[in-house]
Amino acid sequence: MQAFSYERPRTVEDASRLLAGGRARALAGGTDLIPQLREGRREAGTIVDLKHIGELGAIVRTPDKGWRIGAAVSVRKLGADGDLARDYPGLIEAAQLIGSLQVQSRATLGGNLCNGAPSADAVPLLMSIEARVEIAGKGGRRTVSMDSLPLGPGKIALAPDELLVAIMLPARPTRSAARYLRFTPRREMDIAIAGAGVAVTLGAGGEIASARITLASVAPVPLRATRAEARLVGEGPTAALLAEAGQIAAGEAKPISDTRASADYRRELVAVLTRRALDACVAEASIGGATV
Amino acid sequence: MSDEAVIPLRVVGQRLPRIDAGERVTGRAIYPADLVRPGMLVGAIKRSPHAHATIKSIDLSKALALKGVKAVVSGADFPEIRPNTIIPFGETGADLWVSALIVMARAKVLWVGHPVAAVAAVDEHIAAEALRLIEVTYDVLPAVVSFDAAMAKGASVLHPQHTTKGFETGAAIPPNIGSRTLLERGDADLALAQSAATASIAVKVDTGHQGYIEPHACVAEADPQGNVTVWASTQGAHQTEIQTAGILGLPQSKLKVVPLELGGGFGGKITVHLEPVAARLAQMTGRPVKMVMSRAEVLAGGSGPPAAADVMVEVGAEADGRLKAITGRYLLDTGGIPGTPTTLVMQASAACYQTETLRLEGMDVVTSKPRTEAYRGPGGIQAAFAVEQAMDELAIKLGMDAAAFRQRNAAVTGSLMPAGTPFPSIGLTTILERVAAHSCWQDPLPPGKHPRGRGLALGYWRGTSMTSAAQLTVAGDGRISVSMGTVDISGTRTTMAQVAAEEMGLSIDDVHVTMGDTKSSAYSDAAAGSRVGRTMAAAVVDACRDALGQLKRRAAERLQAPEGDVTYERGVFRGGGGIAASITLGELMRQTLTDGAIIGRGVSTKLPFGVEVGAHVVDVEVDPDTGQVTVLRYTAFQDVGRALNPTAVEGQMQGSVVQGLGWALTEAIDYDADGRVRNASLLDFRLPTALDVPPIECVIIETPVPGVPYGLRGVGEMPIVPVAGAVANAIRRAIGVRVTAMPMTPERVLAAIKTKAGTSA
Repeated sequence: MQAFSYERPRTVEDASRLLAGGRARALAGGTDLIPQLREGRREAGTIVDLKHIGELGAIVRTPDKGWRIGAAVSVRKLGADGDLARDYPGLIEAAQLIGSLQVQSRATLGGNLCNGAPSADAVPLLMSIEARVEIAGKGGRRTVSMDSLPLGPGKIALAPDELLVAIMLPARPTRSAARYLRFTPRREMDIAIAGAGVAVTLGAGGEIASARITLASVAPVPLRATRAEARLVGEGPTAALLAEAGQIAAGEAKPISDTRASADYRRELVAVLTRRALDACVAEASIGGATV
Repeated sequence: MSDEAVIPLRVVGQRLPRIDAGERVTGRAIYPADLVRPGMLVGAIKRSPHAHATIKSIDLSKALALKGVKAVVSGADFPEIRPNTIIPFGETGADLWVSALIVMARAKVLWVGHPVAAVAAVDEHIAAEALRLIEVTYDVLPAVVSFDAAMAKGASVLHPQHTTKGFETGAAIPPNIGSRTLLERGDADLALAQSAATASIAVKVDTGHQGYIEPHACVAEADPQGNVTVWASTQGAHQTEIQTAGILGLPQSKLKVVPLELGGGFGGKITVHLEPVAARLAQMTGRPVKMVMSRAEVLAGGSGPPAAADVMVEVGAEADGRLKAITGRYLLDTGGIPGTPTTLVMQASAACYQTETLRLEGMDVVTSKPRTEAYRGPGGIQAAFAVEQAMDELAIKLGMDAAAFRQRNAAVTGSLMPAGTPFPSIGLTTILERVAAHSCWQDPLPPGKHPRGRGLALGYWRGTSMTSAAQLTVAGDGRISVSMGTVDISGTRTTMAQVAAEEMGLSIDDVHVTMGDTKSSAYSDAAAGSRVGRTMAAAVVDACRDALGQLKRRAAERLQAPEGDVTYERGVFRGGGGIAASITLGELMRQTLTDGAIIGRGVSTKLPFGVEVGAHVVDVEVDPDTGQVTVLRYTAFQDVGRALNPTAVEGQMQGSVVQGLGWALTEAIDYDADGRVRNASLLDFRLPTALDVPPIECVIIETPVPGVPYGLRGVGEMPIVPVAGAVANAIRRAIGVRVTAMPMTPERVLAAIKTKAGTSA
């Protein structure tokens, strides 16, 4: 581990300026960054701690009944918000797959996204519910789709002076549900060898009005299974259809073989996890799912 | 039944908490990595990046020139040790050449991670930089990583000078075989041909790991007179001393090994790895040197993992279930140096069964991987994974209940062991009666979301006895101190304090136990082979009785009674009668301490073996879509002779089961074709967590061993042996197909399900 300087800005503007200074790294919970520095997998001249910027630590209900979650909100705090948990129980569940309880006291949603891991547990569901992200930099603020952020393992589309400020969740649609399922050979303390984050909205007649599927750990970035999504829309959610969508998603996956699993096994898992996540979402959406 | 076992006991057999529990759980216990000495340097090892290569040159000059580097060593800094340099060690002696070659490569490197040089520097950063500056040039040779590659015709031979023993004259010997052992009784092939039913299986077991949480670590220091002290994390201080002294060419009078607490060993901390290197660096620099392996080093070449195995078994029986034949071929991966024994493994795998005929063949195969070392009943779980599946399949073919089939063929006291000698006292049939009557076998499997199955497997481990020594002294207040040449694994301090308290008629609080260093304790063999509890207990009993004899002589004088009339019970000596009819131990010592020390001497050697037998029953659920196995319920039955401390016994049984489940389901070292480890972290070498393991119920059965104090048996190794076989049998019952590769990862289970679907379609 190399020596670095540590900064603790109080405003987004200060943080942006420090990050632009070169060889700087943003620190939120540090649950990825600190082991990476220790093991020499990342280097940093300056660590910019974002946890002391007020708005990054806040969960706010937006006027359109959506949510604005500060990038440095811990998983533990996320789980403690009862209203958020009612809207997006699947998000809380996915975030709570990250690390142990102790790690969850530090780990953040923003960090999970900015670490750029294809296996990030909270990201597929966020992408499937069409979350957007607010980014601040020298030129001010911009809000973009989450889909545009991951570029590859460990890489995200942020300029050196930019930081992630918040994750914006849309209002939960009526008769909708979102769930993330992952597979790990060990129950916990493990990394997904495949995962599927699914969001489903049902129409008045019980047909699938919209479906989004984002796959984890089967491509360099969390991967949308758009052909599987297209197959579902407008159809009644029969078991056969959901299984077929799983098979299509498996075909869309681009997994590699490594020490954790073979590519073939990852594809098998994509089919199973997609089908099971769709099934869970359809069941949940059918029994209401209206925003309270 | 031995007489000793029926005497009611006060302290032995009690569920006492560990006397060092507070220190352990509050972090006060000192392990080598905690130790700081004045002026201490940090040592680090330069390791081979190749699995098989000739070392052409090693240039240490640039490393030595780096500021902050105090010494650099390579193989040339240690005396040459020839093969077959036998040192007293274990039952049969050990070859010091093996330990020396593990510690530092000489002409060739034999696995990725094999040490080629080492440095001592003022801090770890400079040490790391110095390692980069050591220039080693290699002639890379072909690596043979798998059994098939090592034994293929024309394979690269790792030890061309090695003579393979055990083949018949004129037999074609495959390359890279350490030695071959054959155990034969009757005509097994004929018996198989005449059997009403047969079952066979071929399994492959990947290299696992002992998974001790504390990486190898030591601190070494040399004084100006040339005396060297090594603080070590070891299963045997005396074994560390004899190996380290031998590898350094140092008289044992100049070396003291101080065993600190051990953060897990399980067989992997008997052979030395760091100690001779740290000691040499300390001698060269005159400063203390600490060496601590990283987790990646432990998992990739720095330690000796347990053996991968390739086992084929065929068994046959009469229609009434009587076993006619067991045949097996056992290949054990010895890694880069020959000599991993196969005989005990072969015997253990068949030992639970009476059979008319037997033919077992074993070979250790040399591969381009780290030298294999022991792991909790070494080879037992691998072999039982094959044999217990074959037996289960045979029971299915015969239409017999798995427990009834085993009861039909169970070894009993006096029946023939695989080696042809009669079984000493064992309680296997009692165990099987208990299994058959237990709810874990009787209750129907509760229904679940996915298919479920229940598996049974038996386990046997011989264990060993060897020698242990203890010394007891009595303080001026009658309290006692026991010092012994062993380390505390599995609560040894506590159980030995119980034994001493029992024998001396005292409370456990009146006993102090010291795990001595090699200069303050007499020679004891390592804490291995399920031996330390029983053989050290025998030594402590011996020491107590020796001390009591001396005390009785003194008491007789004080009581003016004939020595033969003096009795001792619960801290009080009594003479024949009269006014001064009794004296307490405390009072006796107050009056006579200055007459001279009481020193009780205890040595136990070659006690009757405390063979361990047991049966495990497990319920699993298998997700047919992902292949994931969930362990629902686990019950372990074991005959322990007598439980010194049932809580400690259960800890051993449960710990064994957890380790067994890990290897059975998720743990494997993943070597690529070039012998590089692809998963050298605890993220990807998947030890189970608490969430992967169900509650484990332990059923303790006590059939004493005659001729052993309290009738003690070994405890700690057997309970890992049946685990993978039991799980495999449960999976078979759940999904109708056998998984023949271990660990039975979800991916492999799913592949087996798909193969079955493919063949039945």
